[in-house]
Amino acid sequence: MESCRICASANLEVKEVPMTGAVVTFSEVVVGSSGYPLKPPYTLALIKLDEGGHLIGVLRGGGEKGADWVGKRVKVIFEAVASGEKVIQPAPWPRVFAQMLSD
Amino acid sequence: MRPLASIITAGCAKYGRRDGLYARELLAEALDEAFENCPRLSRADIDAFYLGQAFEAFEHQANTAPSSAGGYGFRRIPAIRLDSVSSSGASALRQAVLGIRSGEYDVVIAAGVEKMTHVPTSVALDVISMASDRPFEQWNGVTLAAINAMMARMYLRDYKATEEHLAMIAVKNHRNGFYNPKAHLRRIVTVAEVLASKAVATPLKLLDCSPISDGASCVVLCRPELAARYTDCPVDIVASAEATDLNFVFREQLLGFEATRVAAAMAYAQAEASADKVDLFEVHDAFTINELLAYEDLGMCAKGSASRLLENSETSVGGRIPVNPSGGLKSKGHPVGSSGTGQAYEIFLQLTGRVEPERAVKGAHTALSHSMGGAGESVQVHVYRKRG
Ligand SMILES: [Zn+2]
Repeated sequence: MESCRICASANLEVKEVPMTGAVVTFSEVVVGSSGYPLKPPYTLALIKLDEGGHLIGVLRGGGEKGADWVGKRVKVIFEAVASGEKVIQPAPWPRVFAQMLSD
Repeated sequence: MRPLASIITAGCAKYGRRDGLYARELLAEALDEAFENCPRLSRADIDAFYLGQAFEAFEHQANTAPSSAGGYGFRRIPAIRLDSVSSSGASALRQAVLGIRSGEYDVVIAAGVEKMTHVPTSVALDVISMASDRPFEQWNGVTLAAINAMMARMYLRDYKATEEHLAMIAVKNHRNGFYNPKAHLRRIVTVAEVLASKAVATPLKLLDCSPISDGASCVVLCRPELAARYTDCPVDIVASAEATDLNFVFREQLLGFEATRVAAAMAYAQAEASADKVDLFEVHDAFTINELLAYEDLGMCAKGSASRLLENSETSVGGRIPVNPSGGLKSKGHPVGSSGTGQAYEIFLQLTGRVEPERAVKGAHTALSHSMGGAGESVQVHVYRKRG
């Protein structure tokens, strides 16, 4: 692959990264869509990865409701889709979660 | 400056819950109004039909343009559907303008439609979530409300603005929509009511969000030199610009919409104007935070100072720069594919002096519409001028 198929960057290299980062912003989703298997409420976080770039995933291990998660450290977890879940996609694809790291 | 195209008539079906009707029936309602108000125009005059409609899933129907056009008596003409989700109608408008500009057509229709309310809300939200990236956004629990909520949280944190300011946008637009007979939510609300409405995706609440609506709208365009043949008071389109962006999660700059800034700069250059030369704006306000960001991205105020415009009621009807006198998507409703042409319909009425006095922008000469697809992946900006 000569360039990234998402952002067209030619600065491309394959390497292992720790997949840690910090919460940039978040939202507690109360009204969800029927297409996502987790029933709301869940907290969705936008993560800035230490190695650059962003991912969005559901926050895990966050405690109390109404807390401010901005700036909190997280580790990104990829999880395979549960067997039996109806999937419409060209290739198997994991889901992203953001595991809170203790301070 | 030579106009790009001229609007000679327009129509809009009542927005709201329109039980028992198919999208093409809503479209016919909008087209009826346009033709009734322009007796010199006949169906045989129409050279091409551009239809904005975002989703095939609601009626399990693809390629809706030919049957909508043919069913209304526009036989064998080119008819094509455009999808840029929430700005599909504006995409249809822009392609219609380009069709006129190319010299290929004399008279064309730009229309928009969406029929949504017949499915359960959670299913509608799943369909609407198709606006977001499948593997990186939808797949991980993203809803469009959640993206806008995350953006709202960033804005409220970084700048001098509060949830009250977002609520003031809802209050203003509901007031305007109250006086719009085509609006879905015709109900005055207070800041306290907005703040007390139930959370959808924090910090956004139900009354920060536009409703799921059925609706259709259209404008008829012609070559500027032909307009006098059809009407004594055409509205000229003097700018048509469009820009796009990567999906939200792939952007380096997460707050504000670069596509709006780029499209606006092109539109102002074409119109030889700037924000302070525009008498009224119709902007994308699917969520209240969208309108706040539009104030800045469209150059109505400096970055970070949008809340000031609200505190001084400058964007209310009667203020210095009225925004969304129609009620916006927030109160008029958001039948996704119709919202872009719905803005053009409102501007046509405003500039030809045909709106209810309570929401009329007096003496308006120049207007701007700003339509956004998804979370700023597609943006269309048009500038309109009353002739004479
Ligand atoms: Zn990339």
